[in-house]
Amino acid sequence: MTRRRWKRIVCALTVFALVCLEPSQASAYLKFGYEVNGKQYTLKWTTTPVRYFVTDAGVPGVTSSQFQSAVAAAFQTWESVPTASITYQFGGFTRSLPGEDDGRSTLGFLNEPELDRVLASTSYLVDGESGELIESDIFFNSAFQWSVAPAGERGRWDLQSIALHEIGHLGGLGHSAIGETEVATGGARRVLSTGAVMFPIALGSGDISGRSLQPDDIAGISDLYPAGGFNDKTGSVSGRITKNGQGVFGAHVVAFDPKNGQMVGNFSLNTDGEFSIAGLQPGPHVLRVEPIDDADTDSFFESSEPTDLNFRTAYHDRLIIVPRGGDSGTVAIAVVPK
Amino acid sequence: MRRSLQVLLAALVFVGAAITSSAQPNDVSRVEVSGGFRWIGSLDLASAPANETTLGGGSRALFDSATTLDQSFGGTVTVGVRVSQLIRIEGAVVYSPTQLSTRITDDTEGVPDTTITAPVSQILVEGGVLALPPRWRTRHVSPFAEAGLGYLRQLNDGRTLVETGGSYYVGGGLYYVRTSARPGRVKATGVRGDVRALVLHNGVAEDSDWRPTAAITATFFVRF
Repeated sequence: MTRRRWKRIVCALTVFALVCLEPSQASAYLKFGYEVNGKQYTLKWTTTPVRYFVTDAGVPGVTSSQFQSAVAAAFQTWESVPTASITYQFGGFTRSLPGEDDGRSTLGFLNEPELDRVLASTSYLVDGESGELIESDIFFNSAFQWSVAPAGERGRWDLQSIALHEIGHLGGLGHSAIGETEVATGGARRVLSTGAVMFPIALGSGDISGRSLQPDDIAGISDLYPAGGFNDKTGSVSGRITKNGQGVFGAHVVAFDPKNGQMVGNFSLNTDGEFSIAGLQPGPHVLRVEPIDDADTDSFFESSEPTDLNFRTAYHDRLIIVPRGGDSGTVAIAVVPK
Repeated sequence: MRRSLQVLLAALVFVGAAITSSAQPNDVSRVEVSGGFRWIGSLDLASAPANETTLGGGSRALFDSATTLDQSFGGTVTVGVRVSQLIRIEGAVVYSPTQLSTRITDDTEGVPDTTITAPVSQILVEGGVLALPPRWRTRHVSPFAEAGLGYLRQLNDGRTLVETGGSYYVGGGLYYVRTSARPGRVKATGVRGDVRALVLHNGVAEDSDWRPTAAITATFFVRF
């Protein structure tokens, strides 16, 4: 294996906008996919625990030791999901920086003032021949003010919350669209609320609500690394979104559990409008379909993808009964243009 | 639910008015088989907003939801055995198709309020005791009080999900009996009506909360 064969791919959490990878087609959750030698791979670790290293350098307000403690807490949060098998192991401090192709997954600060909307970013190194995931690095942009205070600090970004999001990417998760934004003055987007840690936009500095995983995050990581009978205890719903008889690409579909208010989402991921949402608790679910919020397609899809934003939010007219350990069967939802 | 309670109260008043007679029929039958219809009132199952987190840890609802198991009308078959002049024990099977309804309101994207449904079949297998005070019987009419418990099985239209639960009931009603004029296997026939306070738990609700409703049953019976 040589460096030349390795291929680095990047996903980032930004303040206002971000770039992400093409999702794998017809997957049960928005997972990352990539192609090596004509073969499609789902981005995930094949051996655990995943060892990670921490750059031995702090920033004002956060020592390297505090940084390590905060990211360890975030790793622990993902490990604590009882229906997922992913585990992580701290390998030690290193002088290496995130982004170096050294075969080590490294987390640390980098000063990237030109990335004025990027709080943090996750990148991957995959073997260009075998498709194996070699390493995944996360950099935290030290151009921003950071905090590890237990209750958060006004004006500073909570490191543990942002780390939790990025470690979700490190584990192989893409972005969730469960959240609401609005276009603020000057065209920038402002987040109103989020329903998933993997929502692409951070709520705001000083906020620590992002330290806890939401049902959508738990379903996603459990779908990637199922454990504890996850596949037997949960079910999925799949179907097709159409408009004027044609499939809709990029429609955001949310399965809502009316018993407890939990939401798990995914997208229609091909031009036939097919979608699949896994990791649902058995029982009745409401399906809600909406276009991506505020035309923010870049957070989820390549600009070359034919993402359809011209339709009205709609509910499927029947409750869908998700079976235990199975799929609901194909659900057809027709939407109408705006 | 309020409508169900009104029906229950009206029926109890009816039962109370009927127990003033005093003559007693000469009913020597032992086994009773009956078939008929049962109405079961609706059940409130859950109210849950689609909450998202806001800056500072607050919440904002994408929409609100309220889910009910709608009222149902189904068929029932009962087999009872007279244990004494006062007590009769019986078992019943009730098949009662209904539907789950989730009412969606206040969608932030302006989607009009809507109700989303799914058909549900439910089967109740019940066992209970009837008390028929002899002093209140007339020639044709016998009031009774009843109580019992049951096993609940609910399944959706495609049978992809089967949920089980339990039930308890107390109630009362009336027999209208016509005794057979000639001796033979059939000792008596007639109609029976009762009103129950019914409590269901688990099933499609998938929790251990006890949810009250009302039920009204009307059957034709044959006594042997």
